Amino acid sequence: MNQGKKNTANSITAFKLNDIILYILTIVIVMICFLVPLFLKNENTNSFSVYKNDSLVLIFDCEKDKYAVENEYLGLVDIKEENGEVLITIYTSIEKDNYNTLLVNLADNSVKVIESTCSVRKDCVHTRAIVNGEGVIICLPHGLKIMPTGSNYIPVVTG
Amino acid sequence: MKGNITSKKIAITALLTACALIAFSIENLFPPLFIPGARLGLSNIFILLAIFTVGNGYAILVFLIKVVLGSLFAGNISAMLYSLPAGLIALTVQIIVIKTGKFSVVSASVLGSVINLTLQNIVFCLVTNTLQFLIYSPYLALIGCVAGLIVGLAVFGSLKALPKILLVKKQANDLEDSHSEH
Repeated sequence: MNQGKKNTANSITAFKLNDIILYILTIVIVMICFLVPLFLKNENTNSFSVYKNDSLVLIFDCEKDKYAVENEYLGLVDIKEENGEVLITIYTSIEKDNYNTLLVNLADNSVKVIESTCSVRKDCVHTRAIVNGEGVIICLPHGLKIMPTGSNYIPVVTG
Repeated sequence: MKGNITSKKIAITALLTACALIAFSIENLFPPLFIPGARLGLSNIFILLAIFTVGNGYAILVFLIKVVLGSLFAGNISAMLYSLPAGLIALTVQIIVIKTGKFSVVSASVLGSVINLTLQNIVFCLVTNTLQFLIYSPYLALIGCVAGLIVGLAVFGSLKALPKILLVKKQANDLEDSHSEH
């Protein structure tokens, strides 16, 4: 077996000694990933905002149970409240055939997407709820972003 | 994609692409693994197999077709924005690692999977301008380790089971050497 062949020999094996280098590299990447969240700040707020393609749709204050819908989206947002829970349906097209439904739990200041017509994967529905200003939900196919209201907070007067 | 484009290569590429798409579509029907967007990536089994059976260029071709058609089938074209660049970088790393011949397919798969999921998350954050999504990075990296291990072992098992005539000539020689040394 010549040197060239030796270099590639046994490439189809489950483990080689050199693999330790790759596994150490993998562990380093994983450790860096664990450090990243430490640098993210928590908004620590009880209100959340919904954006569509980076334009504000509504702001909801869970503590005061009040909301404000932007004029542009008045006909495209449907809000129902019962038993301490609020169902918000945001239609993402004028034909109202595409939508995301948000469930707001006023008791624990949380919001999550419970229904969407976005895609087969429905990543937004499987994203964990925003609780006490921690987390973010994104529906990329619909261009929808739900995030805690931070420094861009606008006093809520409607609702 | 050096060398002759033979009908055998075209047939194997088409077969692997179809298998990758089927695996991708079936996996899409199930909820993600704890974190949005996190999946085992079973379609990568066929992309890695393409490296060994038809060559690097064809493997990239299988990946590109899988991403484009898979996104269309899932009705989620926007997923291409983050899965295409991240997947392409991860696949390139895997090809380079495998080409050196100094590492096993399992370790290459683990590294590629972790790079893929981590980069997907970073690109997703950049595309959506939402750095808060980086909070999922540690979980995605861990899921990447497990997913890469499962995919790597599946590729290893498949390569052992496949007839040597299907493998790229160099890989077939390596497999023969590996058997004779044991």
